[in-house]
Amino acid sequence: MEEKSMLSPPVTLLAQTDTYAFEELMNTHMPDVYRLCCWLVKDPVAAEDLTQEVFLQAYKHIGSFRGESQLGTWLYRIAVNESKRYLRSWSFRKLLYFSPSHNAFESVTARHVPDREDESILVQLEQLVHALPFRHKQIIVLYYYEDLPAECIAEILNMKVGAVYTRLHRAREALKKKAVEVGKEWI
Amino acid sequence: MDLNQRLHDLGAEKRQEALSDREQMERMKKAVQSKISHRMVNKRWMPMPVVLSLLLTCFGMWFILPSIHLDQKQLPSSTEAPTSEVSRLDTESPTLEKSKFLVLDQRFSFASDFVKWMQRYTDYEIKQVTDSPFANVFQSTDQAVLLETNKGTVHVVFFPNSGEAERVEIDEDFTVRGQITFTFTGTKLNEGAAPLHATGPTYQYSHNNLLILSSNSDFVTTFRSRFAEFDTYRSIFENFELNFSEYTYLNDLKLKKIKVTPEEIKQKPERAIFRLRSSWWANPRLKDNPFIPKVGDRTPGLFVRTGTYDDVLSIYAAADGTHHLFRLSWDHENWMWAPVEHKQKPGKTKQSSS
Repeated sequence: MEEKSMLSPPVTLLAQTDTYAFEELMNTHMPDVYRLCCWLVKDPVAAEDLTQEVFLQAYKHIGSFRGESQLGTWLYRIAVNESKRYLRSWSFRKLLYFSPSHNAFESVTARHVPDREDESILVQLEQLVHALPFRHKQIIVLYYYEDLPAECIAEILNMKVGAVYTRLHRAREALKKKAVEVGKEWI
Repeated sequence: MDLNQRLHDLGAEKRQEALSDREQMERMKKAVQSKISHRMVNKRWMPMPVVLSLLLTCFGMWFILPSIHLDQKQLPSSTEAPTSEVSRLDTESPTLEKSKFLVLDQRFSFASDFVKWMQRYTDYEIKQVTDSPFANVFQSTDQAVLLETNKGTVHVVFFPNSGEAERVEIDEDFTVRGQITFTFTGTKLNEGAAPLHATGPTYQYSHNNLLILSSNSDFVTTFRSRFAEFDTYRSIFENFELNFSEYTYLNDLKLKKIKVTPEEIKQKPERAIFRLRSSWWANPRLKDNPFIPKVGDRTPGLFVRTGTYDDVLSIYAAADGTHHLFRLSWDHENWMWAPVEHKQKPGKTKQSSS
């Protein structure tokens, strides 16, 4: 992500709503933002809507972006907030709501019949991660799936680096607890 | 193999399988561009009465205000509460037409400096200041207000010591649907104060002794950038050995809302201030472009010496850490603001570029 942000259009040009610059921003960051939204909400259709909303928000607020963080970090922050908002929205919680594509995106690892024992463990682990509360899931996704350093995550979530590590520890503990609840054991 | 390693393996698998579909990306891009165009077209058709109301409301709100000075050293808590009078928040110059006053109740006097700062440095219009439930949550303070603005509500808690708010963290629990609860860590809470209940996520931002809470994440984004700007401007003033309290910040967003004609400026030269923009350097009539922005440069801030209209400073911090100061003057002949002096000095700390 750090390499890509070096290629991002200059912030000052974006602040003047340069069309070309904004298109470059989308070219550079849209796949990453979409991927993050998919991991957080587990619904590719919803993730598409959320990704579009992220860039609309970016377009709307680019004037207030002062460059104190990288553009990618800023976009990720919007993506995390929008995903959180979506998961708490009424449309997501409706009892009868069922996205036809939801199960299709139970991830390749989930649908794939594991060849090896460790693959099976990863499938189960992914399901456990998905069952975590959002505040724990987001940190697991950002740290392990996105492979971001704690400093970057701290900027995205607007917290101190120490708090990121604390939250990570709590997320892992919550995962272990969930594993025990479903009858698994972690060494 | 331990859990940490398993999670790393899972992450590696997830990254491998996540391949972006080019067609899908193109489709999403087009959808975004189409929505942006649609919003821009809709904005052009703002009804005239709304436009007129906005102009009347904003007319003269940000003109020169010699009486308003912030406590620059520790923003923004005020420890000097007026004893017998209601704190009155002036939002206009006495030379201009009558405009609205935001009357702050005496018991919220601790918030007056912050409210003034917020009205000056952000584009929020504060409609009302009332009690906040967070006044009963923290052991170390009972000073908190709820601000109703044109863009939503925000709670502000004032801690007695600088840095205290930055140790506070919010801990939310979303496990039970429809019953979000949250508490705070990093500071002692009053007994029985937590957990609190919310209908949605709560966004937090801390700065020095201020804890800002809202259900609208825009406040966090705005305050974060504005506080950072404010700190940068202060450091530039110090670097050039200027007295920050002698100058008034000109909010670009609010200047843009006020239109003035050449005839008005001829009659009242001080109204030339409303022609000023932070992008003054981009005027094509300037013979030599004095400022070409680079990646990482901060947006210039505009200040006018309080009590004047033509002693204007445009300051900014460049990506390489250099502080720049342009002194601007109104050019009546060419009908524009032009630089008459430029100074630069190395900044004290190098800022990182984006």
